[in-house]
Amino acid sequence: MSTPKKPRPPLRFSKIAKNHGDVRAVGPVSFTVNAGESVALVGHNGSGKSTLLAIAAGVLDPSEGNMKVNGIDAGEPAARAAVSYIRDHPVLYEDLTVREHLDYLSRLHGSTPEAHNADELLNRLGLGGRADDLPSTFSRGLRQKAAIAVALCRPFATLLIDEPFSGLDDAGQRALLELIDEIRAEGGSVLVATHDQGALKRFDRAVVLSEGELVFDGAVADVPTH
Amino acid sequence: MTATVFNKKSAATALGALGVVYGDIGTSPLYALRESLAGEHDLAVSEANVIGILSLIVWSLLIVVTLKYLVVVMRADNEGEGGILALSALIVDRGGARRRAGLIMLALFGTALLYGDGMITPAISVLAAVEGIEVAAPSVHAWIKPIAALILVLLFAVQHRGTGVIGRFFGPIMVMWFSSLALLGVAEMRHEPGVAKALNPIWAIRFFIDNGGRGFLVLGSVFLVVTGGEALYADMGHFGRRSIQTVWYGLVLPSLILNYFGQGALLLQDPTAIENPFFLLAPGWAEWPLTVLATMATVIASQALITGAFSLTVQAIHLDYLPRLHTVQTSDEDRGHVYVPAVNWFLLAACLILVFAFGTSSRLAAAYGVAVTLTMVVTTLLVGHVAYHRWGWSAPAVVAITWPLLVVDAAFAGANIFKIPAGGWFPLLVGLLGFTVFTTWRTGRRLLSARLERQTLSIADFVASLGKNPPQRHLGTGVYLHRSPDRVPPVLLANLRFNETLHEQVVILSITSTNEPTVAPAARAKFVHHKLGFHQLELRYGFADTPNVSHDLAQLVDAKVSFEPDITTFFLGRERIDVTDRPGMMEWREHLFAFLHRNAADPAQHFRIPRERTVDIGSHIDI
Repeated sequence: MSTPKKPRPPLRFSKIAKNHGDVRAVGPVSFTVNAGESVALVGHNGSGKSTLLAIAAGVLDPSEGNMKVNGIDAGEPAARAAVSYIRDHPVLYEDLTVREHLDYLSRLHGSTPEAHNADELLNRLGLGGRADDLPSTFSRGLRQKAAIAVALCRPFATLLIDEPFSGLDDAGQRALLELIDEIRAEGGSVLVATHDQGALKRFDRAVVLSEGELVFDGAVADVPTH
Repeated sequence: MTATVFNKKSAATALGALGVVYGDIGTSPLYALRESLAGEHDLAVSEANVIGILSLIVWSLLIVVTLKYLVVVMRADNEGEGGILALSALIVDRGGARRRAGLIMLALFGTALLYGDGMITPAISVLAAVEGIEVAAPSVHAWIKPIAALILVLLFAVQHRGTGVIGRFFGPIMVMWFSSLALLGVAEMRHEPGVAKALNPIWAIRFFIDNGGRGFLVLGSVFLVVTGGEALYADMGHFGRRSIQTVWYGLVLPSLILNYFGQGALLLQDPTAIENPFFLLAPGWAEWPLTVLATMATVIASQALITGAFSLTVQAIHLDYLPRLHTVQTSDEDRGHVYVPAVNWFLLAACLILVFAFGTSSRLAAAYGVAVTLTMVVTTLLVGHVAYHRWGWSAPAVVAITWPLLVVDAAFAGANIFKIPAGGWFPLLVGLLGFTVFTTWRTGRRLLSARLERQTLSIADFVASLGKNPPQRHLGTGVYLHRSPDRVPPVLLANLRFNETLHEQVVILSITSTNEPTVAPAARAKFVHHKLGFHQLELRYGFADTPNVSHDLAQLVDAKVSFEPDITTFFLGRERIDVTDRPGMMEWREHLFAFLHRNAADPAQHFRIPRERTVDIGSHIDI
């Protein structure tokens, strides 16, 4: 019997900092997100939440520090394959229908929409009747829902979502929170950047940023009120 | 089961062909005989003249439409597409590159001339039909022009629905129209069955002998009977040769001959009927219904040329004689069905100007036909070339077929030349303008490519040089649209120079159009991978395909490259043309080219490249 290796956390931010020219945008910040855990990254506009998410997704390189996804450098193909990332302003192609997006992105990640119950997913998000429409005809909220569907229709270990609640209606928010719970229950992890205090209580943990610095990391119940 | 479906489909197609393709030829009885006798020629309405002209009409239909277009010319289809431009794409190099270039120039001129007459067809046919109201109610005279204009506006306004839909609706009307032509003709011929002797060509020959030079000039008006021949060929891609031929022999040709004979029979009994021999064929009670039917038929006649103009335009864009124009595919099933808004509105404007400037169908008839007779001469020449070089006809066979046709074409063209002062200059001018645009665009594009080519490297060389001095790379895919698949686009160099970084994956995307009408989706993409994350991707579309780059990229699941929306950026070069005194074209042509280039449809829109992910990088090019 070999001793089990210490599991590598899905996300490990080690002294991550990002500068824009001479201006420090965020950091240095260190924290981890563990398997089966949902973490809310909280802070005001400009506190650095989106920057950290983009670094975890591998689409932005940190100026300092070390970002690991399952022990692999963020941005490496295997690291990118492990995270599914929904931007603040989701990017979708104007000339592809929702279904074509689902189909393309799931195949790109070696899967199929059917393997992720795409139709049921669309129904739960209230997009059941819109699968064959072009997202360019959608409102902001619908686009957000389409982007969520696309992000969930592929294999991943960690879901990164930037400000998911601002554009969503109540039903959409409920559906998303349920989906997050399911991901967590299946051992996946979720990191959500939000300034929405209302949704906080549904998360396991909160990391609070203020002006680029980490000011709190702990149970949601203990988050200091302003 | 399959057979039934097939037959049903071909019946519907034949009906559509009837509506659109035969509209022009089918409405010539409204004015052609009248113009040949009266009009500017002012011939006596005598038996010799009437029978002589009828004989000319019948034999024009047999020689020009039947023998030339249906039997010979329609064999020259380019994968089902017809028309003088598709024909020009069949010209081969044998016989010398210069001869080929010369023939292509001729074809372009012929094409441009079609636009000139194309503008007249709707104007003259609709005017002629509305003038029928005057026979029934002379008091409406002042309203003729506004009514004709209104009908034209309505006609052009429904074009976006597509020829398929329009054709289905038009087919039944045209069946009624041709049946009426035949019935009216037969009813009148009962009183004067002797007109049938016009079938004997001796009467046509005698007419020439008796009338000398004036007889020759009459050919210019007799030609009105067959003006639709060239449009019929251009429409072939929409409906297919088979259904066009079936309808011609089975219905159109007999109806036309019977009706012209009926008009002749009427004139023999009552020479004063020359005022409007077509409408006077009808008994009093039928005048109004006939006017309505004639108006509908002429609307359909106009359709023949409008549809032909769309087809020609799309082909011209594909063959790079015109800048990209916004085009709309109007049928998912039928590749030939297109709508080109810019051409539509341009034709409408021209038609309205013609209606108000010329005022009557008789005056327009004097301008009509000049351009299309020249196109017909060119078509015969091109078909002769194709028959010899492509079909392997022997030289004597080619001569035996084309020379007599050329004599006929030349006779019509010669007679039409005399129409130039009376308005024939108009279609010629339009033709000349079109020809100038075609050749200027073509030459300008060549100059532009030559200038760009000189500045660029091959991808292989570029990648090799990059290896020695690698730039920073960042995550994602950069897609650069470029016309030659194996050259480095100037936009990429500009981006590298300004940003000093490149995407991890760089794709040079070229979109090429083939000489086939469609390309199977499986054969669409060709990927070539280079070192250092460079890739060449060629997407091939047929000239009747509607490009959709977004869709086709999403079909490419390649382990090396991902086009995931949030990490893919598209780069387009926007060349701004600066006219300089560098050698190239004459300055006014360079200005024309710069203008056309500026107004070409947005490539991102045209090819369906994700607009939100597209970066335009401008550059100045001197020509």
